[in-house]
Amino acid sequence: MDTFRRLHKSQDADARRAVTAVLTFAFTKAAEKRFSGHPSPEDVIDFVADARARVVGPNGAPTEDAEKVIRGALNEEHLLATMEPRAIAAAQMSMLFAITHENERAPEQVDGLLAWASGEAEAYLRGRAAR
Amino acid sequence: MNVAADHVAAVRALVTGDDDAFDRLASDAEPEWLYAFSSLVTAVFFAGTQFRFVNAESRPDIIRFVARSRIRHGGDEAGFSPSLGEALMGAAVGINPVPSELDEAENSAAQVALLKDLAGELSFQDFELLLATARSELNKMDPQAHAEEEGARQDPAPARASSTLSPRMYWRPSSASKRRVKLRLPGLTFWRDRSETFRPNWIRGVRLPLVADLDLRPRGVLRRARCPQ
Repeated sequence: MDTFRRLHKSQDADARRAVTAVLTFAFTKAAEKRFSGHPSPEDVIDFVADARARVVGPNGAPTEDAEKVIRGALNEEHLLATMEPRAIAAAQMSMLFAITHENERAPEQVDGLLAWASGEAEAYLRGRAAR
Repeated sequence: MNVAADHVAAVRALVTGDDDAFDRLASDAEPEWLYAFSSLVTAVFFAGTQFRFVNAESRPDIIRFVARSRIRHGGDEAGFSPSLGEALMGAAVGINPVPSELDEAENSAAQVALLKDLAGELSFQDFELLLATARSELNKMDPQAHAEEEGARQDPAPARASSTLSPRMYWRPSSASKRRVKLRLPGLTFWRDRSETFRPNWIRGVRLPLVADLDLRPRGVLRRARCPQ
């Protein structure tokens, strides 16, 4: 996380936008895979509590934000409407870390996820610039 | 403040879900009565949290406890945020300062829900011990109330109400937690001018004091009495 913050600080606005896009694509994909089907709010509460207690630590993103970004990625986008972009990014980062560490996922799987997200983000940003 | 036996009975009814008994005791109560009652709820909540969780190392356990409590009380419908639940419990065990600028309704919802779940993990004797300890601590602020309470000790104990306690597992101290024999109850001091703290905060006709209105500096350590088996 320290490394991320240091790198993030040195980036310009375009680079930050790109990182945010990659993060969002990767997080959404990971959340969809982790919570396949229709998870109840209780499933999400349970996951976030366990993540904060065991993996991320209590000083990560607030519980409310973490629950909202997960549910927001799973068809409850309206929950994100009242959140600041910075808070969304912090919660997504925190929960992406938790999901990818849940079952000690192999580094190559994480690399694969990020490579896929980079491709999607690049296409998205290119499409946006062309508009 | 005089925390009397019927205040204790009302908290017992609130926690065990005995709505009839609770309504009988609290529905038409005077503000003075409600003030003592709500103070007792807060004191028992803090004492119960300290009984269940030991110190800052308990933070992951508190996070999980609050999450399970929110699930039991309806998830989104629980009426309190996880951050508030964790902050209140954390304040009780010294992890963080007492939260300020609390929303009164949310504060009440959190304290009552969490207290119910704390009590659900306690044996009947331990819960009664917490009630008695909290009552005693509050009454120490009022010599006359303290004397009345001492006199009432001669009265027979209330009928065992275990049938109304949550039937799910009672929390039995493990061998590790048997070392937790100390119970800390914060010194509870209320503002002299009650009008400052006496804002409407209704939960089933009951208002709870804001935690931020209490002086929660520890006033010493109470040794947990050994309960008769």
